[in-house]
Amino acid sequence: MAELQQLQARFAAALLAPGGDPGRLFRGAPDLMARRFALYRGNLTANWERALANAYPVIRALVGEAFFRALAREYGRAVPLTEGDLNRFGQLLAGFLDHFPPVADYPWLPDLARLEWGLHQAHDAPDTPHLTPQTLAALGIAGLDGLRLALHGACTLVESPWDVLGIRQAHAPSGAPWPEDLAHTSRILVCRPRWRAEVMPLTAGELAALRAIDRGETLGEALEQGGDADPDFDPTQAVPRWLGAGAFASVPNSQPNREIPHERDAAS
Amino acid sequence: MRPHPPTLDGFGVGLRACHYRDFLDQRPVVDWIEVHTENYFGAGGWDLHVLETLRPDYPLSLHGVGLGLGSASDAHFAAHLDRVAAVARRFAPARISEHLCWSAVPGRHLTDLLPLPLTQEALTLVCARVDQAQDLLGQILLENVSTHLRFAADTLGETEFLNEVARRTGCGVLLDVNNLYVNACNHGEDARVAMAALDLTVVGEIHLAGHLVTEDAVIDHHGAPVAEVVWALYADCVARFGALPTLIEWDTDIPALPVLLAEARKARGVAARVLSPEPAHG
Repeated sequence: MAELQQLQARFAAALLAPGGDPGRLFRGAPDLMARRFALYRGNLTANWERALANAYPVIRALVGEAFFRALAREYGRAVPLTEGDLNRFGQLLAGFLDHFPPVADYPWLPDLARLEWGLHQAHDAPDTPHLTPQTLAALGIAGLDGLRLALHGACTLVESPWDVLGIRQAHAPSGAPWPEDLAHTSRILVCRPRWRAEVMPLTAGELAALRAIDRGETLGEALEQGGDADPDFDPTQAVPRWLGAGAFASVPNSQPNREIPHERDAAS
Repeated sequence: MRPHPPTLDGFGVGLRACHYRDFLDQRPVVDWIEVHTENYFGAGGWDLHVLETLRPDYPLSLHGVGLGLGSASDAHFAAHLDRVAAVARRFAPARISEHLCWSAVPGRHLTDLLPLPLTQEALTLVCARVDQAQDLLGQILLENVSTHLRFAADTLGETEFLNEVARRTGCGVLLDVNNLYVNACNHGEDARVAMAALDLTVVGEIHLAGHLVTEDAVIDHHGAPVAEVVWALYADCVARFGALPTLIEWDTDIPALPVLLAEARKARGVAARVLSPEPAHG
């Protein structure tokens, strides 16, 4: 295995280095083989770019094709893809952009990346059932306060001091105008009510309450924190809105003494 | 139980996201469909939903592009194989295929079908990996890839290598006729000699695709109709190996679905003429 391992290590190192040359590994004229080797480097960059563009269409539109290609190359070299699923390439882009000098003049870009990654992730999140108003109603008013809910697997909460929601809307097919003031707080629930990932703007109270739920606090505690964060917070409006967005996973985990049958019991 | 027996027969096309709507609304007539396994690695969502919906109406071929059976590092192999197996459990494909290539080094997946040195060392490794895959998946097919390079270290021809893997592991060979042609051009090989290195019973499926001729190399870009010279090679292939499930691949600049379906019909016609030639006129 030693030879194969060495050969692949050399191949990979040359692939990742700009202008890298794996040395005399190949048959044929060295000049031609060097150009052919470069085709593999081109494939690698093209695959990175395609995967990144798939997850970050708004950032691509904003920075332009040429810059985006260079970004994909820099990111791909700096942040190795550690699995054979290109769909996950890009999951660390926001953190990379936080420290990427060429975009220092666009401080809202990392948060825009967080929003777009949330949408990308929602696309193939599990199809576990959403908590419905009916299920919630069946628990009865008395049970609601102590209920501990979980955000649905498709959901992400995003908060930014920048109007990343406005920026995204400006790139939606509806074509809203570019935000007048970018220094405007965004509070967003990314959700997937059915198949399409969506964004739902949240009030400060809603975000505080959903964060509390996400931390595992009871619904009663969470709604209280919503009220603390925002005097206008109205749970009777917020909860149905959240349910409509498919914000929670079904089967509340606070059902008292819920017994999970042993496998042999279930089979008998 | 799934409604389809575990066999592929006839002429298939790749199911790609841009054609989902056509398939959902019209259920176009095609013998079977192929998907890239990795595109269904997600936990849920629209892609899996579409495939679940179409699955009862079409036999399915799962074609993997990321396993990299020839990667010397085993850092990615088992985890990737488990994910392939999960997709296979969910969709009960008629056929599972992978490529004779490598794709990862420790700590990094390189997202490509990279060329493997055709050595005894690589052969031993690939056979062990195919055994491991088949323990989990049942019989798989291994496809010849197109390459821009051949290694100085090579001691075997590509089809000779594949034939030996099949002999040792019981896997089948997926013969990509366009790749045979591309490699013949790129490395001065003879595609018909390469084909003849494969045992008559070992080939289980055929791929056809378009390629791009450039100054430095012929590139298997899957972005054009099948070239005439490749159709001719396909006819030879059918003459040698008989009627085999055949896929039209098109992955860049994907045309409207009818174009793809017309290529599949053309393949059917070429195979039919080889298998039951009309009597010569005059």
